[in-house]
Amino acid sequence: MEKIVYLFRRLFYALFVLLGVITIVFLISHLVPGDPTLALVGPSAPRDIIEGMRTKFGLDRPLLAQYLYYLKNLVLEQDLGFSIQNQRPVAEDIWRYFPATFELVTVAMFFAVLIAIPLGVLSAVKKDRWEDHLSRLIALSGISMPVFWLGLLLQLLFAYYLGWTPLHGRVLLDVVARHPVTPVTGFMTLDALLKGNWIVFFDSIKHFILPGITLSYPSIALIARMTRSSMLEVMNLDYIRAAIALGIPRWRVIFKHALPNAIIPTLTIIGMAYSYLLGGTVLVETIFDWPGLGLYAVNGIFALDYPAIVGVTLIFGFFRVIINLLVDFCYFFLDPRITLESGV
Amino acid sequence: MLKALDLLDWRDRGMEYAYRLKEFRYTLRRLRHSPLTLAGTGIILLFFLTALFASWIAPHPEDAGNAVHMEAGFQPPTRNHLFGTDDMGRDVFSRVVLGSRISIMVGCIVVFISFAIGVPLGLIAGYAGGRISEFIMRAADMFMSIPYLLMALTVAAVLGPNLRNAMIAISIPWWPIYARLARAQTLMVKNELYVRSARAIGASNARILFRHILPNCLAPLVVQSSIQFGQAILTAAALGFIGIGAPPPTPEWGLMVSIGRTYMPDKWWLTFFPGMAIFITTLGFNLFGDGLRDVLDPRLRR
Repeated sequence: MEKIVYLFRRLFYALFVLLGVITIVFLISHLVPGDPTLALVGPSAPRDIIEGMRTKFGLDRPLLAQYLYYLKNLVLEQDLGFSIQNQRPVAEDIWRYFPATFELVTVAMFFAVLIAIPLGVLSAVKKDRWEDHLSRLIALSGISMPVFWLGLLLQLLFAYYLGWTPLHGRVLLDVVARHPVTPVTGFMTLDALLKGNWIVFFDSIKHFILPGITLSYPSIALIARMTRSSMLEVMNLDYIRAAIALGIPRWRVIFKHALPNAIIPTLTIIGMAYSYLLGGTVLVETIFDWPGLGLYAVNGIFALDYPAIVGVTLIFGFFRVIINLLVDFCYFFLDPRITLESGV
Repeated sequence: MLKALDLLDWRDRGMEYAYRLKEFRYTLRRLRHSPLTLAGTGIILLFFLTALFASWIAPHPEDAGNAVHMEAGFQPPTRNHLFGTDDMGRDVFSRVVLGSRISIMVGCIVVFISFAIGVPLGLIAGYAGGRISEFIMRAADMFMSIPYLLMALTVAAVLGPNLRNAMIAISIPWWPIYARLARAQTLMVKNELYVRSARAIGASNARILFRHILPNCLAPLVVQSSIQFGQAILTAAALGFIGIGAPPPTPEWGLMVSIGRTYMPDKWWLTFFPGMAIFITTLGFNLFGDGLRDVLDPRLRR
């Protein structure tokens, strides 16, 4: 019973944060100094056209009324407005571009966890030795690295000089043209796999390597540092010292006794790492011409397409809140010590 | 009687100074034993000195602006032009050196704004507790739910592309981090004896917060500021790269990478050196901040 109450409280709280995200994004886009209609029709447009536009977009009404109207449209009709770039509903565009970004972010998260956790463990076990210093350097380089620069260098080395990977894009167009993929889920890799279309599958895997690594590097740093500090904390606990004293092999103590307990705080940081990944897609997709939401938002900036930018920000905020909720749930099932009092 | 009290006071002060000296020595010792922290300190010093003496170090200071030497365009790195020349024949080394000033400005202003918004809110939340705290911290949660690069992007795009707006845009998503840290620290110290005595003798809330609580919260805030200084430079470069930061011909590092990108892969030096400057500078601040955290965190002491 307590568990169910706890889960509901988290769920309710997530909804509350979602509402907050919508509010913030609304305020950012509506408290603009200057008139958005002027940006749309130009400052020299006739007065009555400007007034007409203002009425059409509801900009002549009080802010609160605008907010309620915006909220109603968003919640009831998933209406994010019309894109200025292509006159299509932004919500439709977002659905179209979302799978590419989701795939990329998932692959990057996979890389990050795969590299970061061993790195963090190594760093904790060899505290203050050269292995620790090296892994600290690798980790801190990650949060110091301009991802756009890293992406360009990787392209230069692996795609241009060595020719091991494709330069950019999600899949080779002529490969898809010769071996068409029928969309089932919208996720190219998954669709190819489901249909047994190996040529497209491997081609798209090849395309994942560079953007995936580029995008994951900052998150590697976050996760590795967190793993290190929680491992250090756990390694000092009595039961670990007892295990070592009993003569259980060291690797067994580390991986069997310490790591499972140290991994729980690492879960929280994974929620934060998603934030880095989602923000990073804006840069990585620009460099690798990845047809996802990040590229869509960047194109939106140059077209002064506010509905598109705001829509992407909103979706990424939603995504982040959902990830946090999932992390909370995992936390809850993995750590029996969490009780109602420590919640929210 | 008065004299005895004075003496006691002096003794207390002496002990306090002795304690501070010990702390300081301990800090120095920890820093000395961590090569990476030292390297970070070195990088930061180098960075500040470069910015300070930029016009003397840069061989062609006029190249920061709109100078055009078409005949000298696209030279690869040589002894005359350490980092080569760009599409306008400007010396890339000079531009990178002069760009350090922009980075310093961005770092200082962004840290100042987010500190000035976040810390008072965090102090108030921690000290007042209850509904006020709930309100402030939930607002912080909401801000933190939006990926900060995207939020900066949205704000910068809405405000219009220039360096000033970019700095505002970078500051806004960051206040919650300061607010959280300040609140956590306030909660730890607000029941200490010195805070309670200050309240007992009738000090005002503002005085208690800023004279008594804030100085005792500073350590983690300083660490955060150092790390954020680097992150601000990195984010400003990212906005510059996308094209909504400093406008050309500003020698802003991210913008230089972005322009150089169009000449990839042949003219690699146009992207390589400005990007390297961003990387090394940010790394310096991160190494320093991370090392400082180890020193200041009493839980990690042996």
